Amino acid sequence: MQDLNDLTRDEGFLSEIINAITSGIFVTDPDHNILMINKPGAKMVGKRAGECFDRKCYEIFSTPLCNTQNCPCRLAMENQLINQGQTMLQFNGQEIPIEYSARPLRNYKGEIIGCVENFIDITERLEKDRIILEQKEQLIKKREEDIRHLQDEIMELSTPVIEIWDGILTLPLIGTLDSHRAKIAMERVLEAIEQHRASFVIIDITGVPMVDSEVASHILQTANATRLMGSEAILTGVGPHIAQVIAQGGVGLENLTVRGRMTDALHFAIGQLAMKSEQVARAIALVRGGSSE
Amino acid sequence: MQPFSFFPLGHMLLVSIQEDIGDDEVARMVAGLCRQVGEKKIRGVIVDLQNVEVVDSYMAGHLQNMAAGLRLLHARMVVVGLSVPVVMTLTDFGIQLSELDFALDVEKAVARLEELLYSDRHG
Repeated sequence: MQDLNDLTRDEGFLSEIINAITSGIFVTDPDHNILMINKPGAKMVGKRAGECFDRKCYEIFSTPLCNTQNCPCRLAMENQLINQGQTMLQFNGQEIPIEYSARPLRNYKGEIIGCVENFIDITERLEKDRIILEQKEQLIKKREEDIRHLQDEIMELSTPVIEIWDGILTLPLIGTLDSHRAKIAMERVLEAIEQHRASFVIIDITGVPMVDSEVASHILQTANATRLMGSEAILTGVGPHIAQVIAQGGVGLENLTVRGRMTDALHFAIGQLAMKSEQVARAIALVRGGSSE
Repeated sequence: MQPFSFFPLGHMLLVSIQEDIGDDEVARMVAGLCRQVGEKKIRGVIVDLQNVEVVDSYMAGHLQNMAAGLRLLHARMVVVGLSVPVVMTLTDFGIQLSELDFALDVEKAVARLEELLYSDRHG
């Protein structure tokens, strides 16, 4: 384009191009009069391009921004900057989400003589975004469910209570012991005591990497609950480091029966059981003798 | 019907407590228990709480007092039959009952009492 004459000659061709663009484009002067609008732009508000000329843009279009301080064209012209954003175009009682961009228009001297605004219907894009977001949420939800399921599974697996001798249970604890797990472990031990009539429970913490005062108090609670059931807890697998932590923490694990290894605990428990069965025999004999007197 | 019953077992006494025992009845029970311990030269008392569904801090206090009172009458007490929910609740409330002795069942309680009485006799 060399000069204005070229523009006149090319005007028909240029307007063809502008009309071929799918987004709406219109040009206003500083007083918001529409100087030019392409067909798709006018069509979006159900008008023909010819009906829009020389009318105020806010008469043709209706958005929450129109004819306010925040009018994109006004801001673009005042700040001499491109103004972009999204808003809702109201037409026929419906709201169409649009994305707009307004750009100040200058003459050859660099003075601002108007504004070009183009806008595009983003209903479909928003809908797609919404669907993507929904799918993402569903995915996250599903993953969370899976994780929870796995956690439950691990929880189930990680608190086994095994009867290794008549009347002797073991609770080998593995992994970190939070209050939730501690409670589950305790409940299962107590149920097992009731079921097996177990006199001893060996709590092994070889597999517990970290014992702080909280974990120690959980162990102590379990031991005390075991005592209330009428059974006795033996703690094994206390490493040198953990022993120090417990001693410094002062949680009172000192009163617990502690043995170094599971083997020692088993020896101790079996020995005690043998002694107790003798006592039971003697007691029964005594009671019989007493009642026959 | 009174919510507790006594069963003599030689020099021991089995006390079975029912669910809805009130404070007055506890007092009556303790009085009856102390009388029996004195009269019949009872040395061991087994308190059976199998039918008790709730052991609250009052009940826990009564049990502790009973044990302390019996100790003064030269008798020992062992508690049996705490169920899993009862123990879980006690633990949740932080009630330790550290002064009391427990056993799994009456048979083991008899053995435990023998053990306690033996250690009382022989230092």
